[in-house]
Amino acid sequence: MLCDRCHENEAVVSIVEITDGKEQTLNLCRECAAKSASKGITVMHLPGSSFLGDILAGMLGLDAAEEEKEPVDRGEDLKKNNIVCPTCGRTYDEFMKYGTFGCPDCYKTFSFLLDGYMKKVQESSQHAGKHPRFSGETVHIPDIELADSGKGDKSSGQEGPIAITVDRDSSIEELKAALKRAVDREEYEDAARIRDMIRACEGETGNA
Amino acid sequence: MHKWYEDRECSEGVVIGGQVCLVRNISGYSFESRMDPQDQEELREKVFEAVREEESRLGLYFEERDLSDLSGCSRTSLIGRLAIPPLMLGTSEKVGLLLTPDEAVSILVNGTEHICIQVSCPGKHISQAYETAQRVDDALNAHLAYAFSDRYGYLTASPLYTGTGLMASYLLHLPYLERSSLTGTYSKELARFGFTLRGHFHGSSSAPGQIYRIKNSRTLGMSEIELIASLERLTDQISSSEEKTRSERDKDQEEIETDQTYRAYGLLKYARELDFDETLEYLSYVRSGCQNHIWDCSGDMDIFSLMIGMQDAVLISGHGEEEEGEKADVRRARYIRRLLPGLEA
Ligand SMILES: [Zn+2]
Ligand SMILES: [Zn+2]
Repeated sequence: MLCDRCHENEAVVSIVEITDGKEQTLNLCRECAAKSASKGITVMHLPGSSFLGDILAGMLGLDAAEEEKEPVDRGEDLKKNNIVCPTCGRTYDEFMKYGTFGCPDCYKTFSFLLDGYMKKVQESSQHAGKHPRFSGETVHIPDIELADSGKGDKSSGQEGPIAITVDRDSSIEELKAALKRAVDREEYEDAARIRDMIRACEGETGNA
Repeated sequence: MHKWYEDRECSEGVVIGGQVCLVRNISGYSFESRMDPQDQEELREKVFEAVREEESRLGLYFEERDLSDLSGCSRTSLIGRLAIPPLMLGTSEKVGLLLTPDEAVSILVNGTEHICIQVSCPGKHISQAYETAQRVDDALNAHLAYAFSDRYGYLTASPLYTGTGLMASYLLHLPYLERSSLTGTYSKELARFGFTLRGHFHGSSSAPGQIYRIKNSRTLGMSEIELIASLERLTDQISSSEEKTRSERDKDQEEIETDQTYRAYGLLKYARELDFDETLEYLSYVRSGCQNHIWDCSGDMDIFSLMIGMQDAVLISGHGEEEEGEKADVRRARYIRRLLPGLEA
């Protein structure tokens, strides 16, 4: 679909423009949308493009910080910026830029901002619907309080309670560290899963 | 094969039809943007295999559609025929589509999310469509473990679908509400309930042909049943408001409209070039003509299927009657001329 304004670029966003009291929906490209946005037009509809990320990042970058009444110190910012999803490698910056998750574990990695994020996007942060009939592996998302308690930790982002996710590609060291963390936190299901991974790893090649 | 959108119900009443879309991701894989082509291929195989195993139990038979033509005519055509939700398609070359012959049930793999199950229904039968989607969902789930969290529900790449992963919508024909400038008011009202009302077709006006889609904009905090019930309730309100506005016309207005309706029909039947927007406008009049009993529509006046069929991409991919270098508007006019039934004078 081409942009309704320049008829040249691919439209990535729909906006509602009100002229003379009449509403009109326009599908615009990134450039034209940016021009319109500066005129105070509401962006209504957000196709799954990176443009969505821009908008969300804008919303969150400003609003989320304001809502957490505590002043945002630079160290905290730095720490957030260093967060990388251990499973898929999505960084905090990418998450803010694209507004999408890279893998199911990203929900865990970025759990510290999810409640606020979901309330912005969805006006709720609690699932109220169906559960899978045949449950597979579910992602346990730590409580926000728990995530927040890790704020004082070292800035690496590895030690915080957020990055407890490991997978088959993780090294033995990573797995063992994760196992210890899981046991410390009394998350025995996770611990068992990680233990099995370690066994598989050791049995397989004995590498690392 | 008769398509769901060719059903009589699509050309009667305010509600044209409805669609339910369920987004699911498989645990153990990254989301689409982080997947490599091998993983995508593996995922597609797994999903297709699961579908093949469940087909007979579901009583649904799927055909695999080739979407590898990235330049997109077949893709655009499938979107135009409502077989794929446009925002779900993505850009992966490993995209896969399974579609029932009536095009009412589709399973898209490797779109912007791992799986998107869509069920369409003619008329106001969204609950049945939802039931079907549930059955397909459970059938796939028996073979594939979904990414899920107790707190956030079904986990999706886009936070817009997190939770139920359910989008439910109705297509509505609202000529009278639009002429009374009431659709904007409704659209604002609906936002409070987490629903949107927008033009379905893209054209120069905000809702060409006065075809609107009412759709939920949230997937968290509300159960599937509640959501479907809200959609039904809000749609009932809009429908009765549309009916009421229509019934409140005075005699003069009615006469003017009858004339406009016949003119629209005449243009559709005899024009040699029809552009997209005007075609929709005229078809909208003709559809209203049926509701207003200006003429007998018990025959094959399947206006909605004409609206679907006359879109550029659908025209090109569908009918195999195009001539080299022919203008789309000429082709469209011929298509309409051929399929628009004659009137009993
Ligand atoms: Zn533009
Ligand atoms: Zn991730």
